[in-house]
Amino acid sequence: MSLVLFYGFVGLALTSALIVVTTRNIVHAAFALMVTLFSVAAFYVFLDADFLAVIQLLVYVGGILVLVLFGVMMTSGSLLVKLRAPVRQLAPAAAIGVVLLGLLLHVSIGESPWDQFVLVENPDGSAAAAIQGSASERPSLASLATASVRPRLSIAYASTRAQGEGPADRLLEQEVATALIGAGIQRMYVVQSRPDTLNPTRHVVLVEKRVTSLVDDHAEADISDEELASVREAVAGRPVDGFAPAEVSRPEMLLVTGADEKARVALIGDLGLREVTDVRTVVGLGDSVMLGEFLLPFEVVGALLLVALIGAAVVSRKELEA
Amino acid sequence: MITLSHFMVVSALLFVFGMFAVLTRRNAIAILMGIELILNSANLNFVAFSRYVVGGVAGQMIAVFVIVLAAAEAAVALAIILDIYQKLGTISPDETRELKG
Repeated sequence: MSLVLFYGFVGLALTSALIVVTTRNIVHAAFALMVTLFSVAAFYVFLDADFLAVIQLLVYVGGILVLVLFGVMMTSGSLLVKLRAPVRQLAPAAAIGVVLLGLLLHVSIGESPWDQFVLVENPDGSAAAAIQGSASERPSLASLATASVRPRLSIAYASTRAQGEGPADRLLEQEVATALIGAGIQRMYVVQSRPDTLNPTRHVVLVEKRVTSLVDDHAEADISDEELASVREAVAGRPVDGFAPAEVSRPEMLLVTGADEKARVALIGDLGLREVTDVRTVVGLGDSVMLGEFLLPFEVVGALLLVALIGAAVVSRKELEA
Repeated sequence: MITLSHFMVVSALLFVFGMFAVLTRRNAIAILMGIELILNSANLNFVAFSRYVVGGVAGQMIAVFVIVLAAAEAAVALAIILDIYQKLGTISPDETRELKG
């Protein structure tokens, strides 16, 4: 469903962008540009960047486009004649465009190191072999689980800054769990690593829930006390550097949430696993990030916008005096 | 499943369209629209890479920067274009060659 929606927006974006480029009527071009910008906002939603999508709509569609329309209005002396936007250098531009497009598509579609997504492999390399074996398919949770040699233990790491307690985190767990269940993996434990309140240099690892319980949301009913206790004994309460998963009752996969970089490296290093890459990062850009970590860039952006506005006012004021 | 490649392909097409507009148009405002297309395609790549590869919100933060830059640029550029139109009566970049030595 979302894929259909995505392709719908792709069609919308590319068609309208083509109209922006080809139409001779510049007002039509401006309105087509609006559709393109709207579609890009939709893409941001697909990328979990909701805040950015709103910014896109406000600033681009609400601001820039209106400016452009005013510009068109003020610079077209007699409406009917000057609305035409003539073109030049069609052939060389087309040649350059085709070459550039070929290059970009080659980079986008060809073998790329960045498109593999989920997992951490087993030390004996069986998972890696299985993944590389199915080259047509991107490495994913599903392809790993359906591989003939299933890894004994893998870690899927979810980087979240919210210490594993926000709604986004919960959503992430659910998503991963659903994928795993669909792939036939039943036993995955969600492990949380967070700084020890008494000794911040150490990280406590807490075992939370089993994957099956994540989906139907009956956490306590689904996992027996002994099972939880045995996993907890092996994992929880210990600092990360003492984490020995071999003693755990053989979970097939651990989902680590809330771990910071150092803790994650320690976990993975201790397990002898090699990290391929993140699971997914579902973190939105919201108030807390804006006014916390990225305060300075945010301020700089604001100052820049102010300077530009004053500059624009000055430029158009001079024209009145002259 | 929507992968990174999907976004990269869309972004590549948008970029090429925008560049085509910049190269072929003889109307400064149409060129500005082409630049907006290019900036949007770059933004899409920033956010997509941040989502699929890097993690975190740094990519989104850069995208906010780019959007604001685009807004500032559009405001100033349109003011300049209006000024040029008042003085020269045209906004074709080929005909405004007052600075040519």
